[in-house]
Amino acid sequence: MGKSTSVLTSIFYLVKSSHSRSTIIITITTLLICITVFTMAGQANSMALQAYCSLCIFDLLFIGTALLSAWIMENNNTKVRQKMQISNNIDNNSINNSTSLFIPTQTITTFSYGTARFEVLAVFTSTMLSILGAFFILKESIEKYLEDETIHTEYLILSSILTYIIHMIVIYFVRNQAFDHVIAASSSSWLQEHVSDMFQSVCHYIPGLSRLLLPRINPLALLCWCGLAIVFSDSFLLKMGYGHFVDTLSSLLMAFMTFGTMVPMAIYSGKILLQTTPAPMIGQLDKCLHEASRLDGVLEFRHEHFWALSFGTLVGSLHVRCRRDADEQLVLAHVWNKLANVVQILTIHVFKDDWLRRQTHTFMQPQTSNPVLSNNPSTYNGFVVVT
Amino acid sequence: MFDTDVFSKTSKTRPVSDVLHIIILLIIIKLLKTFGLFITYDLLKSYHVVLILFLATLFTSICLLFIQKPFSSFRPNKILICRLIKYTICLTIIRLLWLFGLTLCGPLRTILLYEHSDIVIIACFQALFSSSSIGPQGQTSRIRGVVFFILAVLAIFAFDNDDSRQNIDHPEGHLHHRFFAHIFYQLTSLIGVADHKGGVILLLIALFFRCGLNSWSKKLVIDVGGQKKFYAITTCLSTICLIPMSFIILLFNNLFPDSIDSIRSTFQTTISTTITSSLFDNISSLIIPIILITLFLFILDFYVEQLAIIKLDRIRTFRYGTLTMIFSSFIISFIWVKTIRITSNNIWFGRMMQIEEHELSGGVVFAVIMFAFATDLLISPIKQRSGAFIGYNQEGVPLFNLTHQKSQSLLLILKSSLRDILAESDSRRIFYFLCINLMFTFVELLYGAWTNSLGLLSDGFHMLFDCTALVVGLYAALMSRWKPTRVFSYGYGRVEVLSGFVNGLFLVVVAFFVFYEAIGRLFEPPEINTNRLLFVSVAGFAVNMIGIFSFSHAHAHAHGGGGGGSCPMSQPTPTKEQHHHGHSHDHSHSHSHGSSSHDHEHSHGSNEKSSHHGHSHALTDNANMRGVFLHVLADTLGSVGVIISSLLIQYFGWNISDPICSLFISIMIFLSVIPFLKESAMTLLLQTPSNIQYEILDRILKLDQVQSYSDEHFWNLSSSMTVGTIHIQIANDGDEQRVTAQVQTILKEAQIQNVAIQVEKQAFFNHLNGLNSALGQLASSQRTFSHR
Repeated sequence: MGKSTSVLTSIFYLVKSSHSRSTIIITITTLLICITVFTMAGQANSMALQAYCSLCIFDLLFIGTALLSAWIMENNNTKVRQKMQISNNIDNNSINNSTSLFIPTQTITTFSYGTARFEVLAVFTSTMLSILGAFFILKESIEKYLEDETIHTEYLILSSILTYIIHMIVIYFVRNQAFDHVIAASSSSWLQEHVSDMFQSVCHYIPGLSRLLLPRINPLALLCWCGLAIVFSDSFLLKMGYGHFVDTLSSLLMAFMTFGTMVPMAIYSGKILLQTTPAPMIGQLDKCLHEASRLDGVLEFRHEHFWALSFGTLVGSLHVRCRRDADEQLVLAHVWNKLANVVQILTIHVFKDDWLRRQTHTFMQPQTSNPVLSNNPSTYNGFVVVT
Repeated sequence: MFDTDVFSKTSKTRPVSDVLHIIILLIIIKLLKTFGLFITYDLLKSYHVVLILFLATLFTSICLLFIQKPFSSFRPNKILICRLIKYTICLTIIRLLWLFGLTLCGPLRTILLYEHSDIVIIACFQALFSSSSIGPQGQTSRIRGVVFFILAVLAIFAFDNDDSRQNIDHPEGHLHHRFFAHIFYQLTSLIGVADHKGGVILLLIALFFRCGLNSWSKKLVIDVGGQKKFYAITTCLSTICLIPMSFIILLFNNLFPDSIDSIRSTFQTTISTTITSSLFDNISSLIIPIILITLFLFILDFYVEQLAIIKLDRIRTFRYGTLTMIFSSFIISFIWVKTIRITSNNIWFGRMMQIEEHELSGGVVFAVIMFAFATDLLISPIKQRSGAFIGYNQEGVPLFNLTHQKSQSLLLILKSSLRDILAESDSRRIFYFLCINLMFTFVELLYGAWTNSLGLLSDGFHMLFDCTALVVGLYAALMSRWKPTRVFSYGYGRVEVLSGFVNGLFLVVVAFFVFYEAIGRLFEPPEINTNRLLFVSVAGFAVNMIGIFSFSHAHAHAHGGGGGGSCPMSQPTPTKEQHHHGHSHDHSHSHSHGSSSHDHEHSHGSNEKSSHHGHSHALTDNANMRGVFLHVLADTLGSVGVIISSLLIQYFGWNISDPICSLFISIMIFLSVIPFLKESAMTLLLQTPSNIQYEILDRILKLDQVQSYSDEHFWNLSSSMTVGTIHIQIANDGDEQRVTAQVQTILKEAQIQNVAIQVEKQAFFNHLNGLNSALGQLASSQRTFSHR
């Protein structure tokens, strides 16, 4: 009971706050249209329509991702605000609080890197779900073709237009940082590539259209347009009396288009989830590492792990072997200085070989600093035997 | 194999105005060729294919002998003649196929399908099969061309309903094609396509065959000495080839005259070949059109095309030629059909035609447009040749690598991957189960196709669909063993987690669709035929039980210390429901299943106990295997549901039990997959593992000279590996290496293998201040020092 009331109050709060009101209205509309359209698709018995209407479900996932990324933004902002407050408090009564700060809080946060990665997972989940849905529709349409049932064409146009409208509204009116980033950053789908290729040749003849057509078109909108065209031609051909084959064919085509659109995005987000170095960062990282390896005292780098935490955040850890007589803190500071601009969350592990012999080493240091003596192997004698 | 030189020859193209006369000539000749084809079609309605071809090649070879005089300077040796004869036989077969296709499909469709240049077909194959050799920019337009081509063929094949042709009862309307046609109709009726569609298939085969023959004979042409000479010789040889065949045909037609009509036609043909001069009618009806055909199809076309290839270039020649033929045949067929309708009796023969004409349909119009696009796209040369840029040589000339990566043979790849699969128990188990599953599926599909049972077929497809989850799991199990690379610096261990997650999502989708279908059926339960369903579902259940036993073994073992509550099977709700469900409905089957789930609970119970004992056990829980296991489990649930519902329907006639069962199953699948999904998602989100104790950090703090720590991150890379990074602040006189070693030992004890420890002193921050570095991310650790 309490749960439901809290849900109600939160919904009430969401509706009251002006910035999210449009999102809520869109969500509810999408939900309603989704139910309507799926009922219609079930009535119409047409797999092509069902394939097209699965865009509605994707819209729901899209809105979910949008809400999640908004929540993460809010979270980060409040965190920063809290931090500011804490630091202000510290400035005010630093003496009183200083002791408490020395003992860190005894809780390990469950998500030590914060919640930024939720976005990536949300994008991956929604793209993957629509890929799997397309796959399922592929199988279903083959089964339907074997079953050979009649298709009612009267629902096709209405429900496809409904889907089209809601999809366009969701794509263009719901602000979704995560998907915007993925659409911009992932490689273009085959649909996009072909369409841009075609438009390029169109713009060859009519240059004025290049502003409208030439940059990459939003793949989701493209999917919607192509799907609408397919459903229309499908209904036209069905009315002409061409039979089930058309319906199966167009649903297969729809499934392949969905597949092609979603796969690049799923690959992009999946690669982030697999802790990989993003390809555009490799060059920059290599340059920084090269510079850092030339620093005084640095012998080599080992276990370089650089991976993307979320969209645009790089995490890295690195083992640095340094010379035995080098100052660790200085090496650490220099390497840090080189890498910190590229890698946002960085851990550098500085280590030396045979650090246990440090005492002997420091004992022998005045001797080794003498160039004449250092050439003499006899001074090293004991040392060599020990190692 | 396919030479790409064709495209590179296009560098020198002359301006259009220079070669306009040749283009016009080419277009006129192509128009005449189209016209000739239409004449041939009409001729073929009353005469035999072999006969027509024989006469045409005879006249052609006579003409060519006079023009070309091929044998005057021809030095034959045995091998060359052998090759020539082989080529000629192939050529004759192709031409026969082509003409036979013409009788079946009509001239328009024949032109659409057959009159493509070799370049187009080769480009098709290149785009389809050797994707790496061409740069990505050219590739998209090529692929589009191929798709258009396929669409066009499909349109002719499937959407061109030649209704008039299909309502002929006796398909062998062409009485004189007795022998060939009979075999052919037997074949097509075996496959189950209409004869017009059979013609399409024939023409496509002829087209591909011709392309292969042409590319094979390139060397032969050079050996003989020129294209024209080669053409003349092969035509003569082909005439010789056709002599025995046409005699046999004549004999057959004489020996077995079935009906009056056929007697009449054979009478005509016999007369026309043997005593041509005696009947003036036949001269006008046969010889004149055949001379026209000879001129249009075989002589003029060849010479003008050769000329155009030299003066223009290959690509432009083929483009103009093909496009002209496609559009002109479209227009001519439009007119032709009308004139035939008006006169309704044939111009040449003066007798009524019983055979209906091939009419235009929407499919053909679509195909014309698609073929035009495809020809245009496929024939246009690729702008840039791909060659990997390597660098500059010493003179400053750019170097390109034109050699492609050597592709391994398919057999070798299969062999090595099979060895990899069998190397480890997880992948081996998945592989064996996949094999069993696939075998079952194929038996089911074959049996379904044989008995024509839709239920079996669709169930087979469903099984195939389920196999993909296994394939994903298998691939992930293979991939997880790959060595770390520059990009995948932690290795591929995470792939298993991701694949487990994807498998979980897969199950969610399945559950959703089953739910959706069930809701639809709940309101109007359909009649279900249960007689074969029970057998199939029991067989499927048995196969899945094998899977469950083999995977549950791994599963139970794997669950050593993986946190008991998270296991999907130990979740109380699904098992209970399963149990109830089984007991209340059916005894014999629920018993087997109930016992299996009992087994599970037992194994889990014991595991939970053991996991309580020591958390220090290695995490060997494999997400990938669990995902596969869950999938198999869901399948088993599905077949149990089918068994129960079919029994209920059979004995009680409750049709509603089917949707109810599927509702239950979908909910059960959903509930069982949720915890698994949650866990793998948490791993992907880098959640701090629950078995990391606070006391580790306490122990670190209690170390000598350690003041504080910050930025502690611990996360599971895969099921077996934990990665940790931490920053530690120590006093100014502390020894970094000693602290590092101590912290390392502490973390190693806590099963954290991959550790990076950053030891910071006050000096570090001073250095950083000196370097003017950004301190944003170090704010928390710096605080330790700044507020002392």
